[in-house]
Amino acid sequence: MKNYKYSLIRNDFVRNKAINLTLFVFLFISALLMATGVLVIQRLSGSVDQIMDVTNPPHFLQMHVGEFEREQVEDFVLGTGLVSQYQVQDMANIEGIHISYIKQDDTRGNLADSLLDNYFVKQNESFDYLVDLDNQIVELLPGEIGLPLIYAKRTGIEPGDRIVIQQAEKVYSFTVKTILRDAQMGSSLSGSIRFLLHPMDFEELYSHAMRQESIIGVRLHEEGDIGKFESLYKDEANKMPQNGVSITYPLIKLVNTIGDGLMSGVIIIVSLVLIVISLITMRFTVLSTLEDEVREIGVLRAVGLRKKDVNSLYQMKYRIIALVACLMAALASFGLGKVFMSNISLNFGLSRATPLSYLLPFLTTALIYIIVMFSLGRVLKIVSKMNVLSALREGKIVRAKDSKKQRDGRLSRLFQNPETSLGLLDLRINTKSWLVLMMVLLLCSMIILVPLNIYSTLSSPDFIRFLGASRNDVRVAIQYQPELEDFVREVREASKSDPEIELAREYQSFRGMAESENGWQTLLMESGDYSEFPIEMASGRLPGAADEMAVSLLNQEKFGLSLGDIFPVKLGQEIVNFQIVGVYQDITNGGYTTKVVRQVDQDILEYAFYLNLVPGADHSAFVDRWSEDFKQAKVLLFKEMISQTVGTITSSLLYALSVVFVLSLIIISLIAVLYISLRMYKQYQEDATLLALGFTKTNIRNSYLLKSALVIFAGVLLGASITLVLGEPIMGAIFAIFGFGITSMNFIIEPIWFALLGCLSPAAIALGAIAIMTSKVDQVTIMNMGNI
Amino acid sequence: MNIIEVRNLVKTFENNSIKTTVLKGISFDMAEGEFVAVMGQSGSGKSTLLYNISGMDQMSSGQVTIDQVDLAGKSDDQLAELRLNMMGFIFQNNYLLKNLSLFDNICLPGFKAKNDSREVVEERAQQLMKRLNIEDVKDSAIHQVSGGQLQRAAICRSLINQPRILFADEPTGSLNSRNAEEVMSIFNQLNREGMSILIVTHDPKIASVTDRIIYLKDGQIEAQLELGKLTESDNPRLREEKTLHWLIQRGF
Repeated sequence: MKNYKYSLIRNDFVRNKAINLTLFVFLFISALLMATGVLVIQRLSGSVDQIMDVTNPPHFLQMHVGEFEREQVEDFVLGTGLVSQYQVQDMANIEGIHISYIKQDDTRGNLADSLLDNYFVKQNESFDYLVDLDNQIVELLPGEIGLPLIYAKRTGIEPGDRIVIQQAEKVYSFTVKTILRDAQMGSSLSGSIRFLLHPMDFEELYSHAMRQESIIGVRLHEEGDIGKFESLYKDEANKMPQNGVSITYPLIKLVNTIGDGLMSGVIIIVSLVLIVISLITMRFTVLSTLEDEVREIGVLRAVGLRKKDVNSLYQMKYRIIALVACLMAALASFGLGKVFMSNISLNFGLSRATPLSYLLPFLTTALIYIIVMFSLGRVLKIVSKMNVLSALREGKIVRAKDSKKQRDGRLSRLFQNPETSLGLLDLRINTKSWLVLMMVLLLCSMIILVPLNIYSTLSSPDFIRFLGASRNDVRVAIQYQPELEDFVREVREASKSDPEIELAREYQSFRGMAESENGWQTLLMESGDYSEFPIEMASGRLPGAADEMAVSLLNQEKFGLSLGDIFPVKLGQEIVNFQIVGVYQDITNGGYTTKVVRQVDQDILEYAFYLNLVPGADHSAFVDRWSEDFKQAKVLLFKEMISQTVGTITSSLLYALSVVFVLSLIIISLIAVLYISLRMYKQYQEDATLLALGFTKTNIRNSYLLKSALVIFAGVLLGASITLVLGEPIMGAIFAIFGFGITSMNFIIEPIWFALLGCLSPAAIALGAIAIMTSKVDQVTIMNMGNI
Repeated sequence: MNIIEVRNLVKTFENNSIKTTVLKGISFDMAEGEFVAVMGQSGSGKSTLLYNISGMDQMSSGQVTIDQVDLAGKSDDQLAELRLNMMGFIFQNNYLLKNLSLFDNICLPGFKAKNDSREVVEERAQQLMKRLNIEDVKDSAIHQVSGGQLQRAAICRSLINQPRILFADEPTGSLNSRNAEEVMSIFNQLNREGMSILIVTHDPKIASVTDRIIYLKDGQIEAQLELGKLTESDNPRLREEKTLHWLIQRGF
């Protein structure tokens, strides 16, 4: 019996080489992706934890521009009883235009294009360290500088190159000693970045810096007390310095994780879809094979094999395929993982692999193996239902149920060509079988389209409208600095008189105070005319009158506001009753913002000018000119701003998207080949009959192509429709979980890419594969009919 | 006039670079309206001969003309056209399409040929079914009727385009003797109406009702037996005995 079993399995492997191989490839790819995704997430989390451990970022930090009472802050902070460590880091904020680099090959450039705030600091003493690429805390000699990794990646600056800083008529030159990892500000999402100097160099630069800022940072005894500490710190009664954003430990961690995390998430989702496809394909192949081998199974049963024996005979084959695929996938995931982890490795330094890192891919693929075997067991239940007599006599597993569709098998008289009618009839009668192909196309187009839509949304200039800012050509930002008013006046005049500017609007950011359940809290406000540069509202509208206000979603939640509510806000000594007229989603400034049109007499934190240029204007040249004319302002092309803000996410996503796209096309072509081969095999007799009756090979090929095209396009279109309907709520939910201040997500779709990558490519690949396979119709001969 | 002329037909199969010549230079003619049986032992090349003559398989060398049309050099599509309009085929297994009712199976080649309107094709299919006594199962699916009814439906299908010549490969092989006799009597009737029929069979009784028997051995024509047209006055038993005797002499 045993020998018989093995020889049957061996014969099956030889005879159905292509089918078995395809199934193997599928299981292998899905298990590989799943194992890789899990591995990457595990190592990412380990690596982020590791860099967090080494650098020890603050649990809570407050950025502050300007002077403050340091002793008072220290007394307050330590007096809360929550704080274990406290420090103030002073920083010299230097505009990118003043930071130049000279590479060893004499290539020169500057950081004017950078959107990031460039802070020059000395190494901290207690926590929040800057580390090198070996995750060692960096100590420098005078004249040396540590360069943020993000700039090393962007500009290709290497150790040994020089950085030249111009500040207040003075020029400082430093040699790049090392590249820095910065857990607190490492991501482009954080909006700022730190350069490290020797304490002596720092004091010199700081004393001449036009803009001095500080980070007030604390480490708490308990991480769980962050919220409590934040509330205390922000309570107006405590009068803590708050001229800048505040950030908490979870956000630092999230910002570090999001790019690679999103990529891993996409890989895992794709692998899940692949597993579903593998299961569908396996079911289809098993059922097809069973149908072909019914008589053999009947004979096996007739000669005395039990149902269990026949079952195990079939299970054995798939068990071998699944086992080998899963084992190989687990091993291969270490290799593929390395590719995906190269970015993580650079950003955080790869954490030491734990025993779990080695075990996890095997555990993941073992789980897949169990799922596959469970689903196979269900499919093979059909063997238990087999009637030996009908298997032997009719070649059917169970007695024919007289399919109603088959009884109604009338050839449609609608079509001139009978092959068209025959094709459509086949679709109607074998719907279940054709659904396999449709499902694969549907799922594959979805796994291409969802990440594609996320990518096109994140990289679209319109995306910013969902994030609390409006679309424009150029944004000029002026932050607090000496003689601010005069400088702003100059910019204002220029914005009105510059012939290249078509439209200019000015916005001012300032602070008010509003009462929440935790007492009076700082409220970040922006004032200006939003009619020309509108933002996307989640509900309601933008403010139009002086006493109207729109609030961000997070502020709406924080202060418990609804549309129409009156919201008292303290502006200086005056309390203004604003009416809430709209709510928008925002990710800028931590998501806690408000918008009004009222002009105020407050200390302005930032002036922003939104400019639209005249048609045909050279945007880059304009930015260069203005950057030169207004060196203290940050002049940025809007597109540049987007790409710099979400650059980390989009580049990881683009990587994952490319992998998914290529994989999907491979899967589609494999499935299409497998599917059509099986169908042609089953149809061989009918095709040969048609040839005998006088149909041409082209007729038969066209009939296959017609059926396939209908099914493929239905699959792709359904996939696209489902993506359009369900994609946004899913993404909104994911962003809501991340707590980014976005709860609903409107995809910004690039119609051409959407159609090309998500619909036409899958359809074309599938049809192409099928067209190639149907050329096998040429090999159909009536002579072989009896052998099939 | 000859409807089929075969000259020096050779057919060689190649499998794993082993060449096997199944037909070794066959030549014969078949007159229009003739009813010819091809016999021989298993593997003698009977079916191969039929498929090569009808253009379903490509001969290795030689010449075949059907109604003065030389098959050599004809494209797949031209051969398909010939099969559709000039030839009818009946196989041992009926090979009806399982998705179609009997009626639509029969109409299918008629719809494909487009020689007549669909109404005319359907009317002809009705008449054929009536003639072969299967009109009561017209709309049945193929698994709902008996083997004999299926074979009759296959005959109706082969006649739907009113072919000049009918090829039949063991048409009674899967039928019981009563059904087989019925099928042969239909063939005789068709032949009397002027249709040329070339049938491959291993049944001497079936062969005895044809005009002529061609006996194949090892890929060559070993002998031919002229039986002449079966007439009302013929004694079928005598023809059968004569056939059997002749076949025994050939070592059948």
